[in-house]
Amino acid sequence: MKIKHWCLAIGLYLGATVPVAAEELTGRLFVSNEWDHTISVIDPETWEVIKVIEDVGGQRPRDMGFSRDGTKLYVALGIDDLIAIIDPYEMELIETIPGGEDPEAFTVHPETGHIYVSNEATAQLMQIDPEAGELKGGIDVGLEPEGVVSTPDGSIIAVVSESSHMVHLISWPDHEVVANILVGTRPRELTVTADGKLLYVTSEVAGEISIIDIESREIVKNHRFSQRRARPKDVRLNADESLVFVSLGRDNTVAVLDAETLEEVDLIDVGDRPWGLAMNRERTLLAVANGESDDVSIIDTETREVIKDIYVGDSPWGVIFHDFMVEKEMPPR
Amino acid sequence: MSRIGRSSAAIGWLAAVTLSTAATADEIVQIAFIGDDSGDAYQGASMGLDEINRAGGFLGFEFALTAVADHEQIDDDAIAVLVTVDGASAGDVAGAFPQLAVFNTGSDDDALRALCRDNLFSIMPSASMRSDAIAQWQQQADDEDISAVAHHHRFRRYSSGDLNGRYVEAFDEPMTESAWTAFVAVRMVGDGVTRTTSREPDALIEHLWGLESFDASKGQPLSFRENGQLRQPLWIVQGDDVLGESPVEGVVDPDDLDTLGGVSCSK
Repeated sequence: MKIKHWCLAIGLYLGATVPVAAEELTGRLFVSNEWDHTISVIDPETWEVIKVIEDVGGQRPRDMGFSRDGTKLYVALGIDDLIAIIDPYEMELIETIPGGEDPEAFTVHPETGHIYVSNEATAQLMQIDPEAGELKGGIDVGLEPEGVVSTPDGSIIAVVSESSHMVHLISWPDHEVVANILVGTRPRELTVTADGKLLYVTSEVAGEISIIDIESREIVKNHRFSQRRARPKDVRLNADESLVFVSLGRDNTVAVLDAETLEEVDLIDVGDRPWGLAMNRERTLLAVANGESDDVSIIDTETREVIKDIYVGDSPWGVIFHDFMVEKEMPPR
Repeated sequence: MSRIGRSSAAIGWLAAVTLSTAATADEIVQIAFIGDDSGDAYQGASMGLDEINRAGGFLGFEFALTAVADHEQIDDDAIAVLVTVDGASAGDVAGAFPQLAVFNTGSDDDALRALCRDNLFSIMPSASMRSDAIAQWQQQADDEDISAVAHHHRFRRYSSGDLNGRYVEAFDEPMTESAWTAFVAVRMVGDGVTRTTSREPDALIEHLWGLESFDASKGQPLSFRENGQLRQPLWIVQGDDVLGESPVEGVVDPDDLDTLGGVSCSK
């Protein structure tokens, strides 16, 4: 007993002074369930739900992201105006911090680790320092801001405004809105290429996806989906960026497009109303949150087939694999 | 809108966002409003104005809304006019001002649609749209005392809840159907001007006829029929409860908005 106490004391001492090496990432898939206010955690080997985190610190969990070192999961809690900080190893809530008004979607800045979150109710992009648990300030954008992404070098933060139909480009670190680009009606999400040059933006009501050249600030390519029920929501690129995967909402499919021409290559049936997408680090697997069938589909990005459907909670919104560190590499967007 | 200023002040600015192009007076896009300037329709139009000025501000456009007692007082430089339920006949206004985009936001009279004027756009659903929506619903359920409306504050899907939230924040009361139709009309003007980058009424009218995917928080891309009626799904309500949506799935194709009401011109 005496020895144990002694070790514990040393451990505490070391923990307080020496930076602890980042633990192994778990590879687990985290799923935010928008309307039962929980997070399902799925084992990537067995595809079993290994835990449902019942207490996420508030209501309406939507977008998720990891701290730069991968040791903390951030979750936007829209109803309670909070960001939850969750331990991805213990799978439990650590604390909550302010998230601005109605936080929905966010990105974790690759240089600072600050959270840039769309505040839907006040039409701002809010900067949060999660370490200090402080709101740093809001940047005015269009109405109902949603998807946010940072270029890999962090120099540009792009955010869409659903109700003003724009993509806003914000320079970092000076936080100036440097461009406002009109796109199709109700833009929802966007992703960026590894070289930081192109954005892929979905427009839900227009049923479109557009490619924006960040430097020229122009739409360089546009595609309107032919499916009448297509309501494009989330978007991800595959490993060599030759293909783009788009969740089509009411069409109950994920479309696969040629990333250069935006021609449709494939259409994959998934559950009902697919919204959130997540690639694993190698981008061999794509997880799809199906909001109306309350399940997650796992797609093999090579064969483009669904290899697993996993029942989760009420209205899954977002998905994310715990297998990357923003401080080391670009998130698998 | 005050809520934006208030929240910004409370949080404090990280960086001043400099918005380009303060429009000069003659560049301000004028929208006229015929009707009671203290009622819900005017409130809806005002909220629409705040929103198009916010979006327009990023792109160098500014808009103004002027309430007038009757159509003889409409400014020469107006681009569009809203005619509300307590205003004059929208058909008369459209006839008197053939160069302006005229929005009927108050009347559900089918005869107004049958006029098929080139510059008259009805945001309010027609009476025949309402009755068809109810008839479709009653093929599946025997609910009594139901109505079909363009908007209801209890309906929360498709960001409609967010829209209501903004209205309640601004006016401390739920958004009515008349407020919604006026709001949508003003948003259409703003959308048209920023997308065409023209302040001219004829460009706006052409834009409105070519609309394919207007977004009015109804989950569907909206457009105008040849009779100037806005295609839109309606919500089935009973008392203060929303029962469902129409076109009714299982009765008709839920995406076929032309199953509701008169579609074509009588002439």
